[in-house]
Amino acid sequence: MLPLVPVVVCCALAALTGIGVIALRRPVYVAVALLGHSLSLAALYLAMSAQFSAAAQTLIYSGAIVVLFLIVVALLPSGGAEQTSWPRMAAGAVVLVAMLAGLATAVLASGLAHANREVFSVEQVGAPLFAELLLPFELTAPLLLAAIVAAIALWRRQESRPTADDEGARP
Amino acid sequence: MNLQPEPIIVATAVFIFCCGAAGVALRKNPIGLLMSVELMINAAILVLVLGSRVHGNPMGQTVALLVLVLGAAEAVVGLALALAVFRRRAVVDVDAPQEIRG
Repeated sequence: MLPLVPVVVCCALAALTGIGVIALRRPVYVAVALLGHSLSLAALYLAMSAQFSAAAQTLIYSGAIVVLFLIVVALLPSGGAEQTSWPRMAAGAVVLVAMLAGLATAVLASGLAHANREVFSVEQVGAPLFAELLLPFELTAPLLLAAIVAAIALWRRQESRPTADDEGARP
Repeated sequence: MNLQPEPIIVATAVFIFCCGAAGVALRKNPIGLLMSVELMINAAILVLVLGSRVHGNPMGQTVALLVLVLGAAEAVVGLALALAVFRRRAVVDVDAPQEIRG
């Protein structure tokens, strides 16, 4: 049986910060809301006694991805608030309501099994990486390499536009 | 009222996923759009970890780790694309660039 109070608190925090991610205007606030969302999810994993997932969520999401978002927000030329139009907000509301209805129907129809009292160690979590999930695990290496190469290629193509003589003249 | 934690977590994951989907439809800013996609990925990871606990199988957490790596790669490429578009033109709208050429 999961502890009820921490789960409820973490779920409420995650939902609130999730709303903040889609409702806030300024990109910096959105990034901070995403950071809070990620940290509350990590706390929720701890309450579910999934320690490895909590550590991975904190290190990879809060530590790497959200910081990457913050760096890009700082690099952007216009960090001002975005102007949202009414048709766009209507489209967002329609998507929210329709997906909530569909997913809630599916979840209510499925039902949940009772939880076991198992806590998995890092060894147990990592063992499938070398057995059943060996191919997906190995495929993450070319995936990450391709992502790095693509990011560098996109950036260098933009850098090569100005001629060589004004290099350093403008940032 | 008998309040179980597992349905609360599933409801939270559903809500977060729908928030992400609505954010993808709502946002003009590509950075905000990518963050909404991250919300959806987070919801998927939450369901995977919960399923790992409910079914007593560590495979769910392992797949959650792989999905985390997938989210990182998606963020890197998406942010690089957004920056490349931003450097050409200072338009904060994902609908504004009408053509993308290789």
